[in-house]
Parts: sequence; structure tokens; C-alpha cells
Amino acid sequence: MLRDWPKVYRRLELMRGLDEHEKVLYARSLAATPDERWQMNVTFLRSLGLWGRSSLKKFSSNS
Amino acid sequence: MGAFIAEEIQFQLIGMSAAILQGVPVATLDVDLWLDLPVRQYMRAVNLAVAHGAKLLRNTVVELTDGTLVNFIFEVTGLGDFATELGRARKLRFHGLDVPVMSLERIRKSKAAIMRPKDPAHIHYIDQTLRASKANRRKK
Repeated sequence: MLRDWPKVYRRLELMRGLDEHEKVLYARSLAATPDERWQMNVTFLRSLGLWGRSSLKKFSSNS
Repeated sequence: MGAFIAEEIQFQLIGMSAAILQGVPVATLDVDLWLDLPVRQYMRAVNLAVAHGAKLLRNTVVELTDGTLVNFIFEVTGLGDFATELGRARKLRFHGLDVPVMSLERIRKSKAAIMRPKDPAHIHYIDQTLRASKANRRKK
């Protein structure tokens, strides 16, 4: 679960090629459940006003 | 997704929405759902979604009642056929359902085959996530 991310972070501490910010990012993402991961995506997009059909007007989404 | 299960239409989550569910820290605007239907039957999928309150935005794109955009996919470049890839898919618990999700390795393979301008960045994040997952498993 997301709240356990510090445990994952400790396992990533020695990973090469990632700065501290990226280690926290990956630790949070790996610790989270699939539902929590999707909720983080939704929350991020909503914060930018990019959730739902409005995003199609701002971007030409074809993925 | 529950509606497709009820109608016995097989599906699997693919693309960056599937990558996010497996821990890739990126953002995506829509959920890509690969359906085991011929493309000429795309209206069957759309009608099913609309019957559950979704709104049709484009031929194969609907908006669910919670604002989620779902893109129905009928063919995927660079991979095996639907049944082969479904056999390789992971089952993840998502929105209360056990959903087949394409593995990161297979998503990466598909992106490497298509190589649109955005794909190198996606491949980078997939690779980093695979590395981080390995480090996470190794030190448990």
C-alpha cells in the first residue's frame, strides 16, 4: 500500500541512475496498489484540469 | 469492464493505463481496452458502454460516468494475437475486479514496434520501473 512506500524506498536507495526524487517517485508507485496507482493518475490529471472529455479538446489523444 | 465480463466479451488492459497499474509513474488520459472482437463490431462495445451510462465521444472512445475515457482497441501492433497475449497477461485487482493486464515487457515490445514520438519516453519509464521492481523484490 502507498503508506508503506518508505520500506520500498529503503530497497531502492542503492539503485544507480536514479536521483533522490526519482527514488521516492518509484518507491511510492511500487508500494501502491493498482487502485491507488490509478487514483494518483486521476488526481494528477484533475489538478491540471485534464480529466474527462476536456482533455480531448486540449490534446489530440490517439494512444 | 464488468459489463464485458457479463457479456462474455474477453478483454485486456493495455498501453500506459496498464503500465500505471503495474507501477510505472506516468500519467495517461485514457484506459486502453483491447477487446476480443473484430473491428467491424466496434459498435457492440460502444453500445454496451452507452447502455451503462457512458457517452460516445469518438468512434471507439467513450467517457464513463466518472469521467474516465476508455479507448476500445481491436488490433495491436508488434504482438501476438489476442488469445496469445491474454495467456501472458497478469491478473490484477482493479475497481473490485480481477482484470487481465498486459505485462510491462509486452507493453514495451509493442511500443518498440510502433515507436511514435512519445514511445521512447514511455519505454524509458517502463525500463526504470522494471529495474526498480527487481531491486524491490531482491531486497525483500
